Amino acid sequence: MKTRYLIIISIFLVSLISCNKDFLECPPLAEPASATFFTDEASAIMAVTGVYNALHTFPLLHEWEDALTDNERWYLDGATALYGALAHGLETPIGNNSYTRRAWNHGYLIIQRANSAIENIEPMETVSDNLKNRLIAECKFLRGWAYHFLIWRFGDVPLLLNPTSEQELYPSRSPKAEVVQQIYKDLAEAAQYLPATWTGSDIGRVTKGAALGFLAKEYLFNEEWANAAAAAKQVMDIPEYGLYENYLELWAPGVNNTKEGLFEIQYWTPNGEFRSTLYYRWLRGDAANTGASGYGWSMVLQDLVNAFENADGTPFDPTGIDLHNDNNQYENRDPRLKISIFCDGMDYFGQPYQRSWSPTDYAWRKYTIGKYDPLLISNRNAPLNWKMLRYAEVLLIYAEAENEADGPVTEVHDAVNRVRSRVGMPDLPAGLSKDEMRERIYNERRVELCSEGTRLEDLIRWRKLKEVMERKHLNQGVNYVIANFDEFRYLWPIHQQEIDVNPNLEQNPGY
Amino acid sequence: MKKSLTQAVHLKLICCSQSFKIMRNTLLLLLLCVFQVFAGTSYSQATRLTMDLQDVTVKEVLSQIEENSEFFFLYNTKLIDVNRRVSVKTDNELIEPILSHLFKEDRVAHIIVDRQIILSPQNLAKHNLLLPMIQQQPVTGKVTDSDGNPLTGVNIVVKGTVVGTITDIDGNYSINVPPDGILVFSFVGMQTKEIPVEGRNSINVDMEEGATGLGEVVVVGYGTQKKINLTGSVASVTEDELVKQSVTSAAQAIQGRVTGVEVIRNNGAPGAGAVIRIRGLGTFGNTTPLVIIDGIEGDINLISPNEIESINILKDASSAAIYGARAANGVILVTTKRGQSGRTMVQYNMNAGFSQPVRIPGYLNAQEFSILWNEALVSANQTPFYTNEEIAAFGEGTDWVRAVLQNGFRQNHNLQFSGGTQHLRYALSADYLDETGIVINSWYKRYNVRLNLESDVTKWLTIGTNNFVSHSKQHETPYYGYETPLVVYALEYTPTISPKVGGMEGTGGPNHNAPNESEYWAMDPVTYSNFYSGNRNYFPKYTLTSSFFADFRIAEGLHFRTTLGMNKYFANNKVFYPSYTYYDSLGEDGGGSIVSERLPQDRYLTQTSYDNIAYTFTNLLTYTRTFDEAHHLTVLLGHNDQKYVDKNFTAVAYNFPSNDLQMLSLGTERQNVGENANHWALRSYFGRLNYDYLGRYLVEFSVRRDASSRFAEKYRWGTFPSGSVGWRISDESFMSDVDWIDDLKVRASYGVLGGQDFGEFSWNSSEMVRTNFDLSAQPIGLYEHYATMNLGTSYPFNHVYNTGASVTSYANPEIKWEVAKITNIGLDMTILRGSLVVNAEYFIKNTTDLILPVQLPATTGIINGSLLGSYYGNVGEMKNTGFEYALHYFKRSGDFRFDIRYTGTHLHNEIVKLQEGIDSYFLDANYAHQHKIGAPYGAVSGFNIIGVYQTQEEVDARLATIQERGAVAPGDYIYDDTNGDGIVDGEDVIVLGSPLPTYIFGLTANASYKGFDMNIHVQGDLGKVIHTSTRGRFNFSYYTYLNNFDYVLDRWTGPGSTNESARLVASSINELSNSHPTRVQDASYAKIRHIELGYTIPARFTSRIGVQHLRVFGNVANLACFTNYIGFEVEKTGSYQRTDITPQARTISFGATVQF
Repeated sequence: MKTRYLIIISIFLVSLISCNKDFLECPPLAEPASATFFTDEASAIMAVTGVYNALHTFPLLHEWEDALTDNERWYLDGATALYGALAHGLETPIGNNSYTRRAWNHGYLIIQRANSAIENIEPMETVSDNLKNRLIAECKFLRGWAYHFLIWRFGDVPLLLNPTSEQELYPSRSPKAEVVQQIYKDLAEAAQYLPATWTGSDIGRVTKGAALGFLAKEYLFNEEWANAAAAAKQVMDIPEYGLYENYLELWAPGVNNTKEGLFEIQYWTPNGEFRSTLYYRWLRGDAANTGASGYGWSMVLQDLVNAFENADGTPFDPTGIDLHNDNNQYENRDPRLKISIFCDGMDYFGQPYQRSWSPTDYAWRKYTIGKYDPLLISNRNAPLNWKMLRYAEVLLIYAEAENEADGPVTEVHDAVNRVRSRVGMPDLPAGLSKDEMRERIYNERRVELCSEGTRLEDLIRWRKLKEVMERKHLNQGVNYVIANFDEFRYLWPIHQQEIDVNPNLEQNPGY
Repeated sequence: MKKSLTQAVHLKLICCSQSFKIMRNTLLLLLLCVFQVFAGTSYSQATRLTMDLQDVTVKEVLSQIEENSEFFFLYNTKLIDVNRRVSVKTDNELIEPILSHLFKEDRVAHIIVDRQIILSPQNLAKHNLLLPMIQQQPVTGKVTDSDGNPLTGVNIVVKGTVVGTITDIDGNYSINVPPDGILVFSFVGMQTKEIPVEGRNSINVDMEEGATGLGEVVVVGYGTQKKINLTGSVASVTEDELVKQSVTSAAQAIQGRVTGVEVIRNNGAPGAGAVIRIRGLGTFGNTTPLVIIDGIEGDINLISPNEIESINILKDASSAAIYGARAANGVILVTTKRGQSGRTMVQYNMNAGFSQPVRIPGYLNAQEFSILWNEALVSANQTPFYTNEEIAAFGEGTDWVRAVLQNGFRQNHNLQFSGGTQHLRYALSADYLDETGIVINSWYKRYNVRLNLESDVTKWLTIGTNNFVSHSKQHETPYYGYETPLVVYALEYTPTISPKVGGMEGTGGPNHNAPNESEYWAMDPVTYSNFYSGNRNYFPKYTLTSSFFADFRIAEGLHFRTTLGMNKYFANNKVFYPSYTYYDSLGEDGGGSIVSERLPQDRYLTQTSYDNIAYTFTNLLTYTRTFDEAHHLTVLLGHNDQKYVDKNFTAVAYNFPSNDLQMLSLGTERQNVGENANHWALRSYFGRLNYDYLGRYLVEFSVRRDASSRFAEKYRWGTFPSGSVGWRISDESFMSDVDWIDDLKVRASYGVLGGQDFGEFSWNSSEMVRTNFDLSAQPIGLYEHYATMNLGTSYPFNHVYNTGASVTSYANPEIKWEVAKITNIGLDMTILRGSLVVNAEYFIKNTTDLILPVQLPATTGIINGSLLGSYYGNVGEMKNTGFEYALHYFKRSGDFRFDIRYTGTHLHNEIVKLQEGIDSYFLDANYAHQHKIGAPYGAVSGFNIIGVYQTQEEVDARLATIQERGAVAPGDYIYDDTNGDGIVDGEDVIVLGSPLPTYIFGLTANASYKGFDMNIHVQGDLGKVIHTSTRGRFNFSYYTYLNNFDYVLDRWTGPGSTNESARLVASSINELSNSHPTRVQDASYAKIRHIELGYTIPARFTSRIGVQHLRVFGNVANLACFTNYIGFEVEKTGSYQRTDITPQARTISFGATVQF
């Protein structure tokens, strides 16, 4: 009998002892804890790679934005595009329009990843100062770019320079001017530590040219003309940068990270791990089907076609031309027209392009490297980077800033003419007034950079968005009419969900 | 009172007497000999013997007597010295003096019972216990159930004594009883009967199914309890109910059987699991009840009803609190069959049958489709797609739905062995299920083996083991991964396309008739299904559950039991993607073009292994004691550790040399591997005290302390107490005059339960799909209190993949237990001489500190795609109230027996609180469901349609006051401007209904006459709406080209045609979002689940071939479904799903149960 008790008691005791305290400690197995992650250079580099990764989270961002202008129509009658939704009365917190929300989220995703990386890398003792400065510079560039993106759409935004703590969970908005100063600071500091070019396995990282180029752009947007011109000039003075000789080739597969591509979002790898969504704009090419399944989501408007000059440098005059049927209009024009846009009768990968394929008559040729192909789509790997800042734009920034600062001086002409001469367009005529020069530069930006997502910001800073949107329905294939584009719409609404969650955020006026 | 006296005497017997063993053997002998006694008492008085034997052994003397008379002797040679040599000489003497003489010097007593003579040592024979027996008369008889089936193992006791026996396998018994004695017959689930002998020597008894089954014992947490003594809410499903059904899993078997339990078969395909919800939804996380199979957590969908002895469902806090941490969703206790000593049983059950769809709603044929598609295009100012000549030539076109349907077939075989010797008991069961679905290429095979063993090692130690092995393979071919069931794809596939002739490279199928790009590309459903059903290993899954226990009887009433168990799950999913070429209508030879292909270098293979294990270690100390024969006390103390480790491993490779070489190592390019793992642990201590006074006043308290690794140390421990009381009013003296009440008890309980299974699924639609089908989906919130680096944030530099690391979630170290407080009031009543049993219960379940994703501002950088990111916090509150009742009526008239049982449950679910400052939010990108304060969980949402614009004047009139969503025209829907702001927009979305049923009912009726029996089961859910994206696609521009149900024929065609359904137009005008109200449907239904007719062949025929029991039966499962729902299957969870689901089948099967 005694033995029996002994057995039982010992089992009970053993069971209690064997169950040590660690039994309940189950840290994640598949992911490292952030508190113990930053140990060596490799971990610091990985954290910065994570910031770059944020650029991938919303690839459509860049491709969509021409649809918010007079360049392009989105496939769904504009229902999901910001201003098209506006015409449909759908601009509500829970309507289909998630675009503003995506833009806001995207911006802060980059900012907070950068903040987190900077905060963690700065105190690391295992990372050399050189590497540390460079990594932080990369983060600051990306953060500066993201703030630029936000303020030109939302105006005042919360300025956050540290990872969110519990105390700062609900930030309020900082004045735009304050954010602008921070962008200058970030980009300037980035430029200080970044090299002009990268080699080997680092190709694709931010360069000094990118930082200075965006700094110039930010100055330009804020009409600090002299600073803008100076920053752009710094880029132009770096010998590693220049125009790529062949404008058509620039959009071909494999032409990545050239001397013209100051900053490109990297996508292509042989194994296709990353997914550019550029193929959304491709057509299948043998039936009049665009939209959900035929792709060809971005459709080019006649208005843009008209913006391309005649080959002799005179403006194209559409008066008296039956634009919907006439094919002569495409002849003797700025060569960039047919490089950028598929017009009726052009070769579409072995077939003649037909305007009936697109409700607007046109499709993008820029970045289109083949037919819509289900096999390619399933791989989701268009071998194309997205060019965020080209040397050509820096020239145009310089020209615009210099023109505003000093009038149409020779340097202004030279800069614009360098862009034009690459595609064989004649120089701008001499004797343009400052205002005339401004208009020519505006149009040059439109045609040179069409489909690259720059026009929306331009129209916003030029305060031209209102007139453009109110005329948009005059284009073939645009089914909605914006009768009155109110001034307040120059700023986007902060998504209602964000406002609901953060009691300290005030909505932009008018919404 | 008398009963407890009996027990007391019995217990005394067991432990005090040193000669216990001897006496037990004697008793055994007595019973055996009584067994063979014939009626009559005077043989010994009438029989005289003459003998002359010299120097023989006693044994020889006795043999001589036996040979020369009808007497026979029973004795134990160890006790009686029969080798003693004697000489006997008698002359016509009675047996009595002969024996007296024979054993005169030997202290051997003899007892003569009719022709039987028992010899035993005198000291034993004088024992007073044996004396009554000697004076008793034998009574024999047969005990049967109300169907006339013999009942084995019925306990028969002579009232007021310890004398008793049990019936044998044929229901026969024999016992010695004083002529004025009373026999008490008792059997689990039957009404106990007391029958006075009144001098008879043959008494046959019919036991009636228990009203409340007064003697019935139910399994409760870590123990058992008499049903009549329950104070909590426990529902039971018995073996009998489980077996007489045509279902394939235990989860299905409880559907509509008990109150408060909702079972949803969310997919009609073979082998698909069911969702169980007990008393509504009380959490935003995992709502699955805890399922304990023989003490170990298990999968109720995997176990066959044939293997089960009982299922008990713990619904309220007091019954479930002993499982504290994980009990908030209720607990299901499954007890499998085990063996009994001395009863060897072999049973074979089989059934086989065919299945077909229950009902297929109408859909458009080619002609109708092409006309309507043209009409939609014309309404949108577009060119008609089909010419009149084409339409005329189409005719009916291809019926793709029928093309993917087939006759299903199902067979189920189950073989059981059970039995045991005195010290070893066993039960072995093998179960095989083979089911072919009603959709082509869908099937399920399952092999289960279960072995339960128990052994009494010593008087104080019993050890045992429960083992379960299951292997299954399931296959179906939903289109595009798991999103669209094949039958839905077939419905939507263009009927103007002809079936393909030949295989992948064959001709046929003029895809050129496809109205849309994607249809042009798409493989037809038959080709698609056939193509994808090869080249995979059908996802074999293996489950192994094994547990060991040891039960120590430390002292009288004091037990210690330790259990160690583990549950291992292994699965391997291998899918090969071969190269192929799919030509259009003209085919390869006819010069057709390739519509889709995979090139040889793009062949690839994915293989994922799942390797999960769960350990359980439980220690229980139980003490049971009765004081003064009136105070009954049971105390339980326990400890439980659980640990879970889940791992999976994935490998991918491309470029295989041929379609037939499907080994991972042969893929030479883009090889990729990945591993994922997580683990969590739970530690618990608990105790329970049950006390009752005379079974009249009942009290129970329990408390459990749990610690979960899912919380940071500070919040790790949770304490969950509960208490309940019961009062059996019918036992009170003032009730003794109330004849019509047999039993009446009121009870009440209150307790607190915990929850920690947050984030098992997310409402995000893609997550839903993933969780339903992909076992690798892990609880999202598992490591909520750790900030982790996500290594998936990668980026290419110089075209080379670089691993990135980022914080992508927000750690919440403050996260703690969810708390459910449940109040339960119940009444159990048996009236009208046991013919009517009424149970009624009311409950209120308030769940607070509910763990919910708390939305984070995007400024944190924690985002979820285009949506706000979140972390988990204890912010929600939900309330469930319900009223449950069950009525069970028994009727018997001669050989005819009948009983009917109705269960009804009213449920009300309401969200009380969400994240601070948020009144509601949408759960999916399509705004079809929302959590809203005051509305039920996941309320179905959408616009309110108030009619259809009939005329332009009507349009103009409304446009004068309301800003419409666009250029509306006559025939378009009129959306209600519910918020009255003059604009029809997303803010007008309202709650349209509850995705949870507000009333659940079940009706079961059984009837039998002689050998025939019949049963019917009806079940339904009412007051529920669901959102389905399959119906309503005609009003959704994106999908207008997809074929659909024929409800669209009732569209608006001109002023006055209808006010219910909009015109057809290929634009987005009648769609504001996916939450379009035409996609919201009433999902109330009632189903005739089961009808069965059986016949038990009388034993007198079957015994000739060695069969004890043989019943044959035929049944129909899912005979009919009554619903207004338009679609394939109404029975879906209320959660958001893209499409309709595979319908359940009507199965007609036949089978037999044979017992040897």
